[in-house]
Amino acid sequence: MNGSDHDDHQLIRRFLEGERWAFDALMTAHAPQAHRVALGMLGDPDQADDVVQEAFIRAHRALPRFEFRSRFRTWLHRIVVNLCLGRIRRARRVSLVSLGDLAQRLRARTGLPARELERRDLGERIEAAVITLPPKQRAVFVMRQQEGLGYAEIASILGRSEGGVRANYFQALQKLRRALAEHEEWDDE
Amino acid sequence: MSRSCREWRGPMLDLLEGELEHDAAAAARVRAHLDACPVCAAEYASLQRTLALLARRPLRDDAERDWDGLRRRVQAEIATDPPRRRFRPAPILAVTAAAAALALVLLWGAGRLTGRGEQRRVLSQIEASGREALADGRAASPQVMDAVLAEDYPVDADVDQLIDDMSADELAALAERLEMLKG
Repeated sequence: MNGSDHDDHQLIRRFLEGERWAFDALMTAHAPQAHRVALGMLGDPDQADDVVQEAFIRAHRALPRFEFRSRFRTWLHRIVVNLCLGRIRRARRVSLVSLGDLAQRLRARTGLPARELERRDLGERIEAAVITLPPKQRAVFVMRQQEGLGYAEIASILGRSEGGVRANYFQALQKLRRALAEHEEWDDE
Repeated sequence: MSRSCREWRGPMLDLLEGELEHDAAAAARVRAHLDACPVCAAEYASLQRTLALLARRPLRDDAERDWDGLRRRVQAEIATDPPRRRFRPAPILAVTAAAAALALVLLWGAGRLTGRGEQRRVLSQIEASGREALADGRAASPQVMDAVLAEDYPVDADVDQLIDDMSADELAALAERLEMLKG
């Protein structure tokens, strides 16, 4: 546990003693990363805002039960990722029940592809590719590649084994490699 | 990639990400495998290029985001939602709570089964529409149909897992291919 985790635990103790500013300080410290994770998973800044807002409300509600055995970041990210997975699952259920227009819906969302994607720059193209990963792979990819979290922490956030997280990350990279093949070929020239 | 090669995926990632810097023996084992296995060597080189490409990605600049607005919205919500203290139930309440929790778990399980039933129904619909197209002679060929089904529905696949693991792109691709089958 590093210094910033120690600081987080101090802030939580102050908050539990009734000092409201301490929760504000936790938000200031963690909102940007929580937002980046949510944005990486959902691909939509407004939805990411909603998720982060909801995550902090839930954290505020549940902090009295925080047991100081884990990092606050790990605990908060678990809430954020679960909220994102819930949103993705609900959106997918809507798509599945109306299978008749599945292709049309998905094409509208992801399939402008070729020509449209070609116009996007690398960053946007990667974001577009990431958003097509299966949700759990997406969560692993965003937390590992984008945010640099360790496999152990990601495993703890997702409630999975480290081996499973590594396998997910590997699969995500393979899929992104295929999605970004044109860029890679271009790079090789 | 063979099963034994799959077991090298984790160590390959560790080597790529510099996680084996302090474990020379492990790094040497991975390198020895890469020297001996062209499949893994190609995979490694390709992943290396992909990671290099990803590293060049400009991340969105979130410095401009309205963090104060976010804090204000959260503060407004929690002003009417005080933190919940740890609940220590009396023994009789604890038994009741445990029974209620068990009932919830059972209900959740039943709901999940229903959800799986829905997924199976949906998959059956997809498959049926493909088979109908084939029966009507609208499908390109039985081989194409079989290839689509074999690729997307491995016989030993867990349907729930299958759906979970399919990305939006994969679902779109499947839907498109089935449209093609319909002619």
